[in-house]
Amino acid sequence: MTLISTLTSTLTSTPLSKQGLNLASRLAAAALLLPTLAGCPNDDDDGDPVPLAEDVYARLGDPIPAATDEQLATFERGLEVASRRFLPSEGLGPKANVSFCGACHEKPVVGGSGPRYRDFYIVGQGLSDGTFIPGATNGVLGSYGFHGEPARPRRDDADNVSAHRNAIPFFGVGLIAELNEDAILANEDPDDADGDGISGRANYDQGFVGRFGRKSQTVSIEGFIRGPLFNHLGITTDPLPEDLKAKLPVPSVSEVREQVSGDGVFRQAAAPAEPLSDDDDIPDPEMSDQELFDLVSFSMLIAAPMPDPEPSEDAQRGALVFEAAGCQDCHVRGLESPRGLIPLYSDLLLHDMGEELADGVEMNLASGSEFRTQPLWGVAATSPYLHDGRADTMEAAIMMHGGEAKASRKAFANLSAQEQREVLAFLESLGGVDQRTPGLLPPGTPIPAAGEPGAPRGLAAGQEDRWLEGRRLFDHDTGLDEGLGPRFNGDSCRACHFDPVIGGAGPIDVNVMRFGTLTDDVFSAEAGGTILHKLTAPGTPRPEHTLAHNVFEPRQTPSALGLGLIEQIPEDDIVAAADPDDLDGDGISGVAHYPADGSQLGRFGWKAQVPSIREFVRDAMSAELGLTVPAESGFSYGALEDDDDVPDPEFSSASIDDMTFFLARLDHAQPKADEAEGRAVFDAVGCDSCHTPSFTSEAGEDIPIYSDLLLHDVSLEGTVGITDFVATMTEFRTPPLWGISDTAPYMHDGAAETVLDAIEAHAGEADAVRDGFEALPTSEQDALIRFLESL
Amino acid sequence: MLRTARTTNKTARIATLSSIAALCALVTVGCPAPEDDGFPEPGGPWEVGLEAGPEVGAFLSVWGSAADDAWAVGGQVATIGGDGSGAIFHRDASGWTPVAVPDGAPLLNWVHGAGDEIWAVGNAGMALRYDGSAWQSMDTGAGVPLWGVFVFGADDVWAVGGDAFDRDTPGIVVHYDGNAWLPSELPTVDREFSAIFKIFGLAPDDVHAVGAAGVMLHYDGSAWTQMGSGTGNDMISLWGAEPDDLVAVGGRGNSTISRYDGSGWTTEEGTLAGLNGVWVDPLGRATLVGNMGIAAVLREGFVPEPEDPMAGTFNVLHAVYGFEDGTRFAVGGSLGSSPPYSGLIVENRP
Repeated sequence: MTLISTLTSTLTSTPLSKQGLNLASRLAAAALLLPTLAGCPNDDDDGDPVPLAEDVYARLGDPIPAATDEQLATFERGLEVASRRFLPSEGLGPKANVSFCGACHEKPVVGGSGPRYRDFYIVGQGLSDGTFIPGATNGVLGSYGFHGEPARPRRDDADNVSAHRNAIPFFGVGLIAELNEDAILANEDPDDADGDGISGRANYDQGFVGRFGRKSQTVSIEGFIRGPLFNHLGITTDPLPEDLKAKLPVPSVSEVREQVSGDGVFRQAAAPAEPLSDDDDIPDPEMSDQELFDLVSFSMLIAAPMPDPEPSEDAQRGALVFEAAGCQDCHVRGLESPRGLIPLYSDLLLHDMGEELADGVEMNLASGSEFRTQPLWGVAATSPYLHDGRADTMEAAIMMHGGEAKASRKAFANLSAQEQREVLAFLESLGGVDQRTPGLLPPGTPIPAAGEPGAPRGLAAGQEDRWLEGRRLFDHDTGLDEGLGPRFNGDSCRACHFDPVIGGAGPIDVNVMRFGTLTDDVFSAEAGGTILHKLTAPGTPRPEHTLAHNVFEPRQTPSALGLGLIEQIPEDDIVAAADPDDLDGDGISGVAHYPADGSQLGRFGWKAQVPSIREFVRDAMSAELGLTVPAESGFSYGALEDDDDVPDPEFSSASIDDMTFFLARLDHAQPKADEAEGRAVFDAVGCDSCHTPSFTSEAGEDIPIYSDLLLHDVSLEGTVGITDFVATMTEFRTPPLWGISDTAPYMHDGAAETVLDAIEAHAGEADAVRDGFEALPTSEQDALIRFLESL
Repeated sequence: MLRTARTTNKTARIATLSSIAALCALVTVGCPAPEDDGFPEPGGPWEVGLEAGPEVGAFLSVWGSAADDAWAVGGQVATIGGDGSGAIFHRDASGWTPVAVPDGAPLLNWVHGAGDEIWAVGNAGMALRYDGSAWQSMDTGAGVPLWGVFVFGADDVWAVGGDAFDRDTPGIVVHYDGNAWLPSELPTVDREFSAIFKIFGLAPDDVHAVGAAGVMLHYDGSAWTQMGSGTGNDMISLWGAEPDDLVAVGGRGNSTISRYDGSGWTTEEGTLAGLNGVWVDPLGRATLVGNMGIAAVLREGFVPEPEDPMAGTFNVLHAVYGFEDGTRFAVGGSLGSSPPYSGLIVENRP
């Protein structure tokens, strides 16, 4: 069976589920219809078959094949914009969840959906009459504050509705934008006039039929981009001017407001509800018209997922079961577009999904229990599923359908195991399955060669598989059924450690928030510790601080590249440089930190609060992912139990072994150039007083770490922060400098955007060194920065 | 509290489109005949009355005693690159002409008058009073943008406002008694709201105000009380011809229309773009204007009939006002883009 015949064979003008047949009868009918329906897709007004759209399918993340050379150039520019990391100095904030578009739309490629660590919350006030008033920033609760806003914006006490959201993929959205309204409205049945239990009604935006967003609340791609730019990044934009609108890949300029005649051309409304300015001091708009144009064009040009050209027999039969179970009543196979039929498997209408999925959030005409039918093309590669990402798998997603879809859910539940597999095989045939990955590393990603970022170091023959297993675990997006949460910051280790490669540092939008209370200069933490988690399992509001908490400290994600070498530095060599009481009188102390029970030297973390890689793994899996670990002799970090329903331990000793093995053999960043002049300045100014250029391992290996691994007070006077074991509020471990050019932002809180900013941010013990730097001629300052960026 | 089901089905939309066709047909054959009481049927083409550049800014409000004695106010909002400025234009029989504004006058958001008593209000709590020959500024002490003003007489002027971006600080109502502006005590309401946007009354003891998050207030001559609105959408403006027939409009992305029947408000969210301005003629027919240059007539119920071509512009229309001869003026500008704004006044004559 060919692609086309498979795609068309399940199309009938009247879905089988609406013909009053039971499931078995429907299946039989579908099987009988199969040979006669092949090649008979939807009919147009003249009774002629509507052909499938051509030249619009590709691998996930690729542009549509029909794109012109000029459009391809625009696509590439737009991809760059989607990957651009905005900084506070460029307008990020004042409240934000992420710093770039690709942050949430990265799975399995840029333009896709998002793993759970990019989930967010919609909050608002639900009144007694059912009215919903969006809170925070147009309903979006920010995780980070800049420009004088609290580091962790607090959910307003009046906001009694908190809805979890998982990012939505952009595949094929340009084709959806091209749909005329009649194509969507044709499936409306708001009052269930046909009595099949399935209604379906359109949402509206700016006077047009909505089609984007979990509630079809947005009509245009421009609006669907400008809104999140403001709500999630705090980046202001202007609506695209007419001359640029006219150049968009999807026709977007019309002199006619109403789009009812089916000509497929209407104005791409620009979400005028979005504020054009914000409360920071960066001139608006903070993204240029050209960048916005490129970004909108990029989105419009992302191809529809390429369906499996040779679907398996299971997939073919699964298509019939899919329809017979009634799934196709909402997940209609295709909508007629100017290019032909586009097989998105969605009617783009609102359906009442019942209390099972209700979130209480009204958006335009959508009620708190209504959601848009999610397109299914590429679904295999875009887990987790449902609006809040509550489903780890496609099967779980089906079983969580409620409301109007309850009958189909029951039908699926009553299928045989083989029939269920067939449905899943059919869904996998809708594109993207070959790009599916349990994390973000593409399937089959090889071991980087020596010298490349993310390469192993000291890997003996035969150890490759174990190292790969450790890397797989590091990259693995942990499911709720594996124990993720109940509170977490990331759903994988890679979620924070990915700059510039897996295992690296993290951008400003994965900072971990630590908090506590300062009373009479004494810091105290909550019983649960100092981490104020960013996320929870769906169904639970985000943890909030109280007004009594007055200390907040963002923590930038340090790179994990080279941890194994740090562990090999002889303890005596580190301690030898300690001078806690500044006995040598050079103004620089240096404290060797012995955390926990004081038996081991701390080497890792911003406060040198972790003594070994294994403890680092145990601690991070618990503190950042919410995974419990087993009790292990000689190790004390990590939580042994939590309050979710997954049996403890949720992360086994074997997994800890593998991940520790991976990290211990993850090479450090390699120098990019020999900057001798800058190195001389580095030494002359005194940077090396704390940033010790190198150590030698027990085995005699040079370790160019540029850190003494000791605690120093380099904070401005009056700084408040978090204490950690013996480390005071203002003491931090000297961070290693290898690979620094790829690990912005800098300092423990990520407040320094550039290496220069970081130097200037040094205070306390580093006052004299900073002063020395500032007194240098510009040429020497530049040489020093070139040196640092070469490491 | 009344809250109706929201009509958003295709039937309603088709009805709207049919109405458009019918209206277009009327326009094609010429001006409709006046009704029995002499007040003309809304209709006819909208034409550009004035276009203003960035040196003037956008127009946010229009009001007058007659079509040849009308005022339009607006200006530029304060930005990082500038302090903002107010603008006032007057229309006589020959057209629109600029009028001097007091030094330092900020963006002006609304204008209203009663007889010779004419007031405008704007950002930073500023009020302007027309003394018959010039505009004089007066600080209300509000300290926040004033979005609406309604004048009963020289000793009875209401203004409303608030920082629309600060949800933590509720909107305000201030009153001028002929001597001073004083804050008016507002009731505790069931929601957080940042601003009151407009105020309107047919009698000093029957005053209504609408604002952010769908908040609606009523003043009975002695105190303000909250009324149920059935919506959480921002309600931007209101007007009415009879105490038991008021119309309020709003919504940002989608049109929202509320009707007051003398006892309570009923609200429905529609399928047009968000609405900003409303004026109701003596026969109860409301002219609505809004985003994307929308102008429409609401005769009854909640389904307006869009006028086509809709004011001939995709600019935002922010306010509308009409006169005894059936003339209607609508004002707005490039309010959908970042400042500096340009402005537009469009006119419609039956």
